[in-house]
Amino acid sequence: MTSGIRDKVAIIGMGCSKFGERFDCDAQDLMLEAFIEARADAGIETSEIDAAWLGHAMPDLGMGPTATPASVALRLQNIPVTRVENACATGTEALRGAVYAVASGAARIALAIGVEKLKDTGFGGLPEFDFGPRASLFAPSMSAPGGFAQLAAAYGAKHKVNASDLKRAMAHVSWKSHENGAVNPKAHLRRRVDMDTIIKAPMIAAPLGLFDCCGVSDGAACAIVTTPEVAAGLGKKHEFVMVKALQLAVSNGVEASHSSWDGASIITTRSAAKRAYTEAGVENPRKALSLIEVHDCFSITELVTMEDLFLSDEGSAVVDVLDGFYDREGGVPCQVDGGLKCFGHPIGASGLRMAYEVYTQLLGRAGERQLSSPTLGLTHNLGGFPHENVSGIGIFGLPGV
Amino acid sequence: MARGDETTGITAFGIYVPSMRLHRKAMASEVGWINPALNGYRHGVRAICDFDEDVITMAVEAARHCKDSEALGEISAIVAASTTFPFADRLNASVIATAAGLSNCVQAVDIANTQRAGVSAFRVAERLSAADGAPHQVLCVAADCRRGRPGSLVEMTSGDAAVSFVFGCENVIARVMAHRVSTVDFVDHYRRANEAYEYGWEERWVRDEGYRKIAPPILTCAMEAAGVSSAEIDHFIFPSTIRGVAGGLAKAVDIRDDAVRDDFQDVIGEAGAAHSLLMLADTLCAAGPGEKILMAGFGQGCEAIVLETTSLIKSIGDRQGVRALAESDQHELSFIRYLSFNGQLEPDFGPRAETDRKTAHSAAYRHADRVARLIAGKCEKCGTVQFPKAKICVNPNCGHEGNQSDHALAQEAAVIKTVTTDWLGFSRNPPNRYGMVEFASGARMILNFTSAPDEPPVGSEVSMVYRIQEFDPYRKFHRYSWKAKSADGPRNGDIK
Repeated sequence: MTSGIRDKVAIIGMGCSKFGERFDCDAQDLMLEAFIEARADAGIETSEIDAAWLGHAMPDLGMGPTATPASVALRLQNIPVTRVENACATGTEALRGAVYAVASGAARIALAIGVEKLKDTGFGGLPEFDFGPRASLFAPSMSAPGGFAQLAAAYGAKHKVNASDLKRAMAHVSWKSHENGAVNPKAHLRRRVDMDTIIKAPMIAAPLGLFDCCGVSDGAACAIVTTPEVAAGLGKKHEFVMVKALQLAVSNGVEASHSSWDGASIITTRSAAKRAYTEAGVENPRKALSLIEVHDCFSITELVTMEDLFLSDEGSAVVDVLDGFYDREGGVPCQVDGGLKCFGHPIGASGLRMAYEVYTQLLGRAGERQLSSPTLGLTHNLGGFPHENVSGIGIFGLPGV
Repeated sequence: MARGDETTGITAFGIYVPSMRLHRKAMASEVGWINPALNGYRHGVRAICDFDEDVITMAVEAARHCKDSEALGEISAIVAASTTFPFADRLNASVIATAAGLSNCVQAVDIANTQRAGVSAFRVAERLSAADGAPHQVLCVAADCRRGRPGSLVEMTSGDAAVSFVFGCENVIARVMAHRVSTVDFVDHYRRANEAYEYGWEERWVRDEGYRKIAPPILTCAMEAAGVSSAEIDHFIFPSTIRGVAGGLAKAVDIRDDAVRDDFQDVIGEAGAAHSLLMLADTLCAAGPGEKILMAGFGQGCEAIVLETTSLIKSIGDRQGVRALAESDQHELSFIRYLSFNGQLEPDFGPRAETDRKTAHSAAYRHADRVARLIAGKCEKCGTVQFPKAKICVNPNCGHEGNQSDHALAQEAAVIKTVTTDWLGFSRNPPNRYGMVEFASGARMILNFTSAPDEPPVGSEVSMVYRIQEFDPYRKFHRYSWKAKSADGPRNGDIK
């Protein structure tokens, strides 16, 4: 039995750049923007950081290989810096590295920073994926929306939800996030969008229309972590957030190659969620969680994730979504910052951007979008495709929760 | 051997007509301004390859539909004919052989460069089946997709199709009685190596000095060699896009008017080097026992073959003929889209088209069984069929480590589990449709759904087709793999 990560590590500072089409910035500039905010928040000097993890998923579009560009941009002090990549869970993966380093005692203070620069491609959306010389021999050239759109086909077939009801629930997912994003100054898309516009938007990959897809943007986010003892010693006066769980689950080929998967759920999310709830000591997530930031790369992903996180019963996510259970005023507010829908998805940054919102909300610093007395929040990343993916889950809470 | 080999002959045949149709009327309205004479050809449709089909993929379909895959594994040689093979230096027949499930021990031959290549390949295959004193099963496949310059007569009259025959000694349904050939460097048209389009001479000269003078002596000699009088010929097969040629030749050698076979110009067009054989396959669908067939191919001379059906011709049943196949499973294509399929128009497919699609030939060869033959693995412990074949069983309740036996999926029925229609990802024929399919054996794959004008619903049936998977514009390489196609319309070779 492992002891887990619960309450061993504190987040003492976080930063998040303004997300968007940052045509004025390199990835390095975005990192610095997030880093300076986090360092000031933590109240430490750069020289106090013992180790760093960089999450950067698409180096060909951004800063190139290795973690060197982060070390150079932030003028880190020749400390160990490691670049990690795990698809859309890259940001969470960077945080996991830093948290584990502190928990092990190898580092007193560690930095996790995630960044992506997607807007130097010359076109909208993500570039084509390259799965290497083997998979490309027989796999179709799938786009991200095309990969996730298949969830809708399978979910509708499994739960006998007709296409228009499912489309309406998906539209509500996006509508709610746009409502939330409109009041977040760091979000990329800050316009409210009505249901009719969402439903009638041009199709990208059926049944996902334009507003069922998250934005594509540049951004960086960053966390500084240490032990609760060091945090107290830094005079943070309980201005910190505890890591309650960090879990990762990765496909092993069952979804893609074995008939036991129905295509309507994400096996890895369920697996990571179970372990995360155990690690954090959460028995009833629907009651315990004050807010969640999930991987809404596409509206259908968020909808299915509500069941995979065991928040909605099997087959009832459509009803919960339409009932507003995940709206700002609902039982478990989801994407109160606007989500990937409004922030876009600079891949390496997203997991840390979600943690930033949970951290900000827990510390009561969210301003206009502040929830009333949140104590426990969850972040969720899903990288890859429904049939082969990586799920990362983080649970964060106030000390003593 | 005046009356032909007594032991070997045709034992099976297959027909493939692609499902895309180009309406000549629509073509004429686009190019009639260049040459108003084209308006005289505005009747009917052309059968043409989908964007991911070519001679190789059509030939594979024709071969797969002539015998079941197990029987194809017993073939000892393949002779492929076309004037539009995709590769000039890579044995096209070897690509066809692998995908069609032939063994690695086959002899494989490409015959090309003339419109009579199909008839030549037929003859070579028939002779190979009787070579060395012992009968062998030999596969002959012919396919063509001639492309003319927009506004040309060739562009208006050609069509795409493929046909296959198996020669052997068991259950012979027709046998060759005689074969005669002449070789004359008559340049009715030509296409230099590496050129996209041919250049042709005046039709009237081709008809009068070519067909009318070169063909009759060979037709007559062939009938004499077979000991068959022209009055006894029940079916006369002589393709030509010049109107009236077949009828004129029949008259010249005293063959009955009603023996002249349908050339399918209105429902397919002329399928180049494959066309004589396509007409022969259609004839066999309709022929009774003991009927005499005179088939010829024309190109740098004339090659004629006299055949006779046997009493076993009835054993093939009431097969779908070419016209019935051509008139089913049709999808209309616009002229602009057709031009872009063939590189005759280069639309802006957007920046995603810039992605490098280089094939790692070492990896492709390493995985040839998977990619070309669609071989999955079957766990020797729990029996789970899985793609790709693996060294550790994917069944979560098994996990057996060890060898898996081969399990071929190409002929297996499959059902759609997930589907999408993708307007974002690059395709030369957007939107791209794909999803997960599950085979009857339980194996599953994510595959492209091809030749699908509409999104096929979850739960619907698909069958596997061998198609071009990627086009590498930088290295001019086409990579082939398997895709799923909705199982609608009659399959070629199905009983009516």
